[in-house]
Amino acid sequence: MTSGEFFQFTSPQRTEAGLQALDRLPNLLRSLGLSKPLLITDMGVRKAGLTELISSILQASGGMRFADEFDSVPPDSDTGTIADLARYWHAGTFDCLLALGGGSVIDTAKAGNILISTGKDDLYQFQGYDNIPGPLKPLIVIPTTAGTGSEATSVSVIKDAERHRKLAFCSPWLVPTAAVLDPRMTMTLSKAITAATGMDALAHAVESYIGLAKNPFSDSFALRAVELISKFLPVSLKAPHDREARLQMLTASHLAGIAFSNSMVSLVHTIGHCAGAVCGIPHGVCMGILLPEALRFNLHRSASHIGEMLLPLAGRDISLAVPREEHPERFILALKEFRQHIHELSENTLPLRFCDIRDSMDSPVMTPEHMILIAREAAGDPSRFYNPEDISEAEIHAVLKASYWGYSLDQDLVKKGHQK
Amino acid sequence: MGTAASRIYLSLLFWVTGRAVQAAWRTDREVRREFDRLPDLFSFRLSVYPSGPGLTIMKKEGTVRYIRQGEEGPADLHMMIKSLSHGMSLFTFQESTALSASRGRIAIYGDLSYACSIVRVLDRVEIYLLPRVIAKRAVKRYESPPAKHRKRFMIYLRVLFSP
Repeated sequence: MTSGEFFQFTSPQRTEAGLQALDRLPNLLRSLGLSKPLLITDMGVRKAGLTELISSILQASGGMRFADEFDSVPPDSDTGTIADLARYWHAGTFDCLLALGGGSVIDTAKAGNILISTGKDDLYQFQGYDNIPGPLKPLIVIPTTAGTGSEATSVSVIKDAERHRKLAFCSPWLVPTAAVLDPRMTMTLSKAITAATGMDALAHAVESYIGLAKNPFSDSFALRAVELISKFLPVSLKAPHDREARLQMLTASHLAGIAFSNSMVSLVHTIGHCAGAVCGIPHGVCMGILLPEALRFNLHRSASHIGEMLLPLAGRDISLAVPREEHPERFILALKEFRQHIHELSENTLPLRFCDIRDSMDSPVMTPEHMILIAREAAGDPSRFYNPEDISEAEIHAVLKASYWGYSLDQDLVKKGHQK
Repeated sequence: MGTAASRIYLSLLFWVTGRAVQAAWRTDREVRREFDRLPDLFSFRLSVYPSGPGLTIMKKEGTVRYIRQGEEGPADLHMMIKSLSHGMSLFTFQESTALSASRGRIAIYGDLSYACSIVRVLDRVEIYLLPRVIAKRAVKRYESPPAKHRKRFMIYLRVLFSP
């Protein structure tokens, strides 16, 4: 985007962040005039004891409590769960939704809120971009991972249980009313999840900085997110109980969420969504593997933007030591070095190539047939709108192959577009 | 350009583009492939908010038809350009459909994966309709289709004379 061009930016949300931020939850609810929250969560969060912690915080503040709990959100939530949630809401008396969990829980709460607030039972009619007619019920979100950023975004993606595809909803009305970022919620995450979700947050920040919808506001959020991830993801892995590092990662994920909610994501997610759907590879793992080669694909179109991220990722010393024209290539190298570092800190639980991901029979999870299918499916992923360069099925296949084996994409294979 | 002139200009461009989509489906293998991804009885509308000119395309019983204004029903996928000026930016080919959508100038009601196919169709059609120097601005990536001039001639003929 150049000066004088139109852009829009939405971030209407209240954020409470701090080492003890959840202690302010009762106050937050009261200040919003809310007293009967429906808790939405999953069994993993419940087993980790996080619901009890929040329950005790509410109890300690004048006997406040959840009006009820909906804890049957699956890892990859679908339209059936959304319908169940809406029915659950209408069967009780609630005045807000309180989502406690990772991406699936938060997206379920957002999509459920569409049905709850509109009183409709057909989620399909709200698919698309700017297709929700007005404000929804208050939604408070407490993220339990530092990566999805969904607590800050205007997007919800849900699996269509009948048609076996993803339904995407994108509207400013989907931005939650408030988010509470408290490191006590992420302290018990395993190294594998910490690493993968951290790479997801990094992908959000990087892609929002190079996409077609980038703007000066989202840029500032994205750059700060890259800087925080660069500093605090390694610390979160070295010292999982470092509360400050965990809080900074939640903050980074939130900033990246605000950035990509406004400027969207592109090629890494185009391929990553489909690789996840076809092969069942965790989203954050896909992001970490695909990021360098997807950036290399866009190098001819976004070199200056890619180069501008070298300073926040690699720091002043490297940034000053490298001539400016080499910053884009150096950024991709720095990204690979960072990823390698995270891989080692996570005790090798963050795969660096698709070929390293094996099933229980030690066979590769992604096969050549899968790659063909992923390339075909990616044609229908809406994030491709936002990629700086158009991309064909053959090119997606080339990026996948490079990411599968871990070699650098041959830039000569990329057909260059013409638009400014 | 004044509002009335803009509306007349856009009405003409929507008519030509709508007819050209129908013609390109008969002429170009890539366009046909994109429509093959869409379900039967799928309808698509591109229009200017609130009641501005627009075009509607319907896939029915294996054929793709441009639906005349006034004869269209509710569409499965509706891409609504948010203002007349945004419509002019798009149809004076200052920016591509993808760029316009990514800058929030188009609301999309319906399945976004279908919107991806439709945007590729519109890009392909613009490559046929427009001279290279203009089409390069109107699409994200300009790729000359095989036998472009022959197909362009066929598409123009069908725009003008096909029922």
